[in-house]
Amino acid sequence: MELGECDLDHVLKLSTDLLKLEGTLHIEPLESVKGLSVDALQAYLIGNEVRSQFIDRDALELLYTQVMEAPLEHHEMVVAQGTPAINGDSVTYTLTDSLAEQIEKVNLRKEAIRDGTLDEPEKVDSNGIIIENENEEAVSHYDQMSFVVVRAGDKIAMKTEKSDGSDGCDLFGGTIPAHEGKTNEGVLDDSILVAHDGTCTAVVSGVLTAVPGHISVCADLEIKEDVDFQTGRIIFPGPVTVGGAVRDRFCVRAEGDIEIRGLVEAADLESEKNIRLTRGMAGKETGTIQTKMDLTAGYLEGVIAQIGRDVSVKGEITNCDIKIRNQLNAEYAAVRGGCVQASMGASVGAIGSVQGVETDIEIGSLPDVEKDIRTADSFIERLEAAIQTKTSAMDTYSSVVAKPTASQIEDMMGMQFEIDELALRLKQLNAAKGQLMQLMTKFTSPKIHIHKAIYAKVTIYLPGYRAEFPTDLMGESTIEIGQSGHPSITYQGQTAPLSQHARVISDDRILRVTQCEGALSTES
Amino acid sequence: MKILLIDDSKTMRNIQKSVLKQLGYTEIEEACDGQDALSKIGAFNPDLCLVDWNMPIMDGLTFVTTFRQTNKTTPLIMVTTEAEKSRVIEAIKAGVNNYVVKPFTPDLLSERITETLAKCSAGA
Repeated sequence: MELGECDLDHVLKLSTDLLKLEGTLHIEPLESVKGLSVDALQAYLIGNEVRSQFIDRDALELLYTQVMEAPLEHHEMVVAQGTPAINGDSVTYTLTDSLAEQIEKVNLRKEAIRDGTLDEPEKVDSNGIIIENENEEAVSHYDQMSFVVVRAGDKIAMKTEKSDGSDGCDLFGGTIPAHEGKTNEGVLDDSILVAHDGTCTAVVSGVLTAVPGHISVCADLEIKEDVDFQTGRIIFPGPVTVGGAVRDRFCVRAEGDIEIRGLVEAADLESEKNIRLTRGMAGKETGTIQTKMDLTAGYLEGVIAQIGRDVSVKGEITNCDIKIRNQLNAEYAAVRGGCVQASMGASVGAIGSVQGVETDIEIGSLPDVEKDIRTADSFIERLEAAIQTKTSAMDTYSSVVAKPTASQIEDMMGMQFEIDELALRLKQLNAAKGQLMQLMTKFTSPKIHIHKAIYAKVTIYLPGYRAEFPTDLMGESTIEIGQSGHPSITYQGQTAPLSQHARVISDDRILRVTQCEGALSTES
Repeated sequence: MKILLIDDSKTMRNIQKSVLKQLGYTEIEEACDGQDALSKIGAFNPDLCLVDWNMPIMDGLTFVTTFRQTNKTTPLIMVTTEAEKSRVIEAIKAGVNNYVVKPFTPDLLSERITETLAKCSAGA
């Protein structure tokens, strides 16, 4: 080193950050700048094993200029930068646009409910009809749902696979390893299937849950509180359990069983399977129940119902209009007011009331089939009349023609053809009617057992008859169509014609199918 | 099996069609006289023809004679009110394979169709 030259090793110092990605050059105050140059600074860095490709020549020049301008001051500057590692992306699941939109709506609705900013529910008039809102943009809260439902096979989301990332390099050539993306395996459960192309599909139908870190479909829906403006209507492809009540005008429609533990008001319930109402339903004459299987209820009041199989009621059935495809089991219940129809018989505590409420019971009817039989009867009658008319016309025609011409022969063939065609249709129609009557005999049982009493003003309809009770009949009794084909009653251990206790009148409200010499026929 | 019905009476065609459908034949084409039949035969290419005798524009016998000039094999059944023996012979000479006299029963027509098809397929 020449005299007067600065001693670079003593005045220069290199420092780095923890990852050694950034190199800062410090220069102590200099009494002499002789020997200092940009090249000398670069040489110092290289001498300290900094890789040349990471040295920022522009920064060195700037630092050099600053030192030359004020050599007696301390200077420092970042003069070298390594390459940072780029970590891999983790697996991500992106909901379909439609589901994302639905979830956003549901979340907004929940927030509005929580903040109390949800629009006022529609007003309902005294007949239960929604009063039209003048605001065209207003939404019906009865039609809203507070969850998103998907069906098995629906596309839920797209999976984006994780990536490896790329390693970095520090100032001295050391490798900075990149972190691989996470697999996020716990995000989906068994309810969602991921295809090779990343399409995520629902395996079961149900309610979709999509929160950060978790997406799943639950096949059962359990609502702990009431079904009201907070939950909206319930339309669900599986079983539904409601812990609370179902309020007026809301509906619960499920492809699985429905169980409601609270009171059901004038709402609509519909199930492809069974419905169980732990408390019961006060339908205010507008509430409806439709189920393809059984209905079990604490009590029913003012309900319109259509039940595919059996009905079991513990309490009372008051002012209801119920059609039951199988049996009514209500040994301890009283049926008061309204009309209850049971195809396969009934067992009830009492019918009517002490006050003499008009109550109709129909036993042994199968309305849909009866309607078809009556339609078939009407067609048969018309076909028979048409055949008779055409046969007479042909007889008349052939009787006036002694030796028919070619044209007359063809006319007569045409007439005969028409008669044959009508006869064929008549035969087919009779066969179809026969099958319907077999259904009637197989799926109806005109028998009712009453455990306590039949009160005055009760009318019991049986196939071909109606029995009106002008006075109370207290005690256990069984009413049925006896072997004689007429209504009979077993009362106090004695079986007698029902006409001994009630006014029995022929009535075709329920079609009567009788067996005569092995063949079924209908009687009005 | 494709069958061509040639008769000027729609009722007669319907009767024949009904019998054929009961026999299981569903590919059926209709023509209202001999000339109409000749115009349809090329495109339809029937396997059997039922022909009436008395028709306007071109009668059944003329149709049979014309048709047989180019086609010797497709079976033809004359379905007619002409019941005289001489007429039957005339039709057979012209080239029909079988003969049904009106009025006929569905059973008789189906029997003649089955018989004709059996004979023709045995001879082929």
